[in-house]
Amino acid sequence: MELVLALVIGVLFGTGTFLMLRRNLIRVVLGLGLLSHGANLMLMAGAGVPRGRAPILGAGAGAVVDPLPQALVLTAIVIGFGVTAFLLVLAYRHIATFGDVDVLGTPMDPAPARVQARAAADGERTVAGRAASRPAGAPGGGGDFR
Amino acid sequence: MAFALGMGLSILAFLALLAGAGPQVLAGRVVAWSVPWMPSAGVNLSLYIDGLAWFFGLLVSGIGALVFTYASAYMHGAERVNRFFWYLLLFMVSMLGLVLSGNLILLFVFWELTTVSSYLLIGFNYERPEARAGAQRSLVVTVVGGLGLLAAFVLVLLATGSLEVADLLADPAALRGHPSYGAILALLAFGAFTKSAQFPFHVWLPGAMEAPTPVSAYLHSATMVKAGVFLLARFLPLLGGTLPWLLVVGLTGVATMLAGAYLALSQRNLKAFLAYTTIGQLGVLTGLLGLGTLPAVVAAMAQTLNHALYKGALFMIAGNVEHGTGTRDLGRLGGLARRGMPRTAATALVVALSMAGLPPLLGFVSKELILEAAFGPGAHGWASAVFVLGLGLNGALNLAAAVVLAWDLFFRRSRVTPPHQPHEPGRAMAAPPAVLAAGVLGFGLAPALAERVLQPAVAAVAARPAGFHLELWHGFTAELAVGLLVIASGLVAYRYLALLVAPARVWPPALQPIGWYEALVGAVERGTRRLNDLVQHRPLRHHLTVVLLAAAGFLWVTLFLHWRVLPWGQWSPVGPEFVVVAAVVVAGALATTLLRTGLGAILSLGVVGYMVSLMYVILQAPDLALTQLLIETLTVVLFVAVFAFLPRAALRWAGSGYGSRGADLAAAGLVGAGAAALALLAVTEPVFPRISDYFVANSLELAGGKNVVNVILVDFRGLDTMGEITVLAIAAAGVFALLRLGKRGSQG
Repeated sequence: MELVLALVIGVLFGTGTFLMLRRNLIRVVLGLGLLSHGANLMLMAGAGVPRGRAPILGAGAGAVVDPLPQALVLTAIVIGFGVTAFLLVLAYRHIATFGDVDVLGTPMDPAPARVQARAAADGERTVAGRAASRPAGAPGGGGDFR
Repeated sequence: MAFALGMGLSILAFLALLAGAGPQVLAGRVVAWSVPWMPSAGVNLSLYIDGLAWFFGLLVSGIGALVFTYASAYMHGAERVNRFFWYLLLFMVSMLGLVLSGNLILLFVFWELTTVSSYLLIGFNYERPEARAGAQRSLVVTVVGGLGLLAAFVLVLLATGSLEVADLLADPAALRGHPSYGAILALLAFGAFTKSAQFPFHVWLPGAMEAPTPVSAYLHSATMVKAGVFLLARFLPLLGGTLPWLLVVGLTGVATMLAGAYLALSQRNLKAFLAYTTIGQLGVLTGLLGLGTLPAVVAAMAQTLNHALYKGALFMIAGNVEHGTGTRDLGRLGGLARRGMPRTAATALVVALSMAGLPPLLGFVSKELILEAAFGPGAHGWASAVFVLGLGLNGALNLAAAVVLAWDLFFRRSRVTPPHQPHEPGRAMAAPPAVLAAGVLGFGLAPALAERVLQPAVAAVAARPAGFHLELWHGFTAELAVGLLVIASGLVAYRYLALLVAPARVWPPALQPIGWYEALVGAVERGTRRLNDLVQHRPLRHHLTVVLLAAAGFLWVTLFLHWRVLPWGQWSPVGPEFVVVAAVVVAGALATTLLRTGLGAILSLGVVGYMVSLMYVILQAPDLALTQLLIETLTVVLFVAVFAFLPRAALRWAGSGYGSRGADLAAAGLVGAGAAALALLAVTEPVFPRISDYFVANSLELAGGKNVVNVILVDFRGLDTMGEITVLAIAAAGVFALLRLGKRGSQG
């Protein structure tokens, strides 16, 4: 059981990390969702392999599992939802401001020249072209924000 | 206000030491006083006035009063005068505290206070870049040395169990035989050398001349650089008399006395010239203390007195010359005695003669003592030769320097013209150096008086009643002959000065001692900048990668250290339902990552969420399963709702990464594997004893609830849940604000 649980947690962390390194903001949010699942299961793993029943008194005899990680995870699930909602709307704002979901080339993530060149060579939308089409004075368009 | 306070305090301290503690100390007793501060750590507010502290305390307060007098006129009309006097007051009080401290930690606190106050004073004219650079250099060098000193004191505490000077001096042999003797000696010497500008740590002292001249006069004569000498003298009875002490302290002193005296002669700036002669004299004092014999201690104390008096006077005279002529460039100064500064010239002549070690001044007495110590019973034959050579050469070079200061500056006929017509300073600036000159003359003519002052100090440093006798005239002795030889060589050095200093002028800057400091600081700066470029200063995602990889790295180290605890081959049984659910989670996570369509990826995330809730069921967490089910539904709804507003092309685009796909995959693999390793450790070895038993035992009785998880959330840890709700509220407010902002943005 330990190995299976560890494998699941590892996959969730790995895929979550990979998605969070994407340029597509929606995928970054998806990645955070996977990472949250992994972190929650990690907390549950801290309780060890379940040797007992659910921590509800009077529902049976014998030992119960550790209730504390469950309380922590319950909080984490709810907060994770709040963060996901906020990030989704943030991504939406990004799209409304910059015209697409690509984070590269925005003030928060200035693209080095070589990445821009490769993006242009790949036939993807270039950052320079997008910057030119951006309306002047659009919110969040301040180039000196770092 | 600060001036009045400083003036009053210095005079008060001088009189209190002289009249209050004087009779006791002169009678060979110690004035001690102590109140507990942190007794559990061995730290007390202790005062320990033995002969050494008394002698240095008199110097600090006495010269302090003269410096305050001098500064009142020198700083007249300058900006920020009040602040200057506060700094100077802090400087004086720190130095007084340092020499009178009876506890090593207290001594260290005052030691660092002298560092801070000298930093403030050197950088007082902070508009000048040179002043800022000089202040910073002094701070860096002396603070690093201070850390070494603190480490030495901690080792002393560990070795002897006490930080009280009185306790340490009561058992002087304890440290010498201790295994950490070497470390204590090295660290303590490091601290003293940085403070007292010993080679090669002298780099900060020339830069310190950027301070206003009264500060230089004080810093070079009685404070700051004398702190290291004081420290070495304080610890000589505890650590001295060994071969390592002789090698470390003595040889450093010899190197410094030669380097300082030689480099002084190549300087063209009057204050820099004086600064380097100070380095040379600090080398003499350190070397004598390194030698550590009774004649050497006598000579060191006498030369400390002599140097404090004449160097304080010389810096004040340098200030007067600059004040009267508008320059301190030696190339533009000359013949000042005949050009309107005769009184200053007379003062300068007296102190320069004492500096050169000529009769009938105190300098002659101390020079005889120095030569006597060099020829005296040293520890080893070769050491004696080294000291005779070093001290003799230093004496000759120092004499040449004194001739430059007195003859070239004031008496020699000269055609150069200073910027202003030279004029004498006012009384408040002329009197303090004259008093100091009277001091070297008075002590020289009446050596018995100097003997009376120095006797307790020598007794304290030599740790025994010192029977010595100071005289101006010893008769025709070997020392006198060598002294005459030194004088002759000094005059020859002066005659061929240009030839002598030519190598120092063409010396490449990289090989100059100041070069190593600049190189070291430059290397540290470049290194930190490079490190910063590596982990920061890039786009956000780069930071993210660094943080995740660092975390994974720590996990890998943890696993490496603990992999033995894993129950290889004895895993808990796993039910088929768990394997199936786990397989679906893995498949869903991979699908979320790999699916090209946005909707497919979102639905895959939903599958993962529902499967995780099933895992919670298997892990005996029904509340979590329920919550996860609800939240996952909400999340999918939210994603799909946001979808309606998004351009379709943007979602279909899987989006490339910032760097290469391979690098991202590698990072993801490392993080995932690290997380799996941590999970494996966490699930197999509960390191901490369960604190949950309390909740299980008391849930029903104290909170009246049977669902322990719920009770924890709403009762035992109710405030945490309050915080959780607050986070949700903030997120909701953020969502609302972003959506409103969008509306206004599209309208505008």
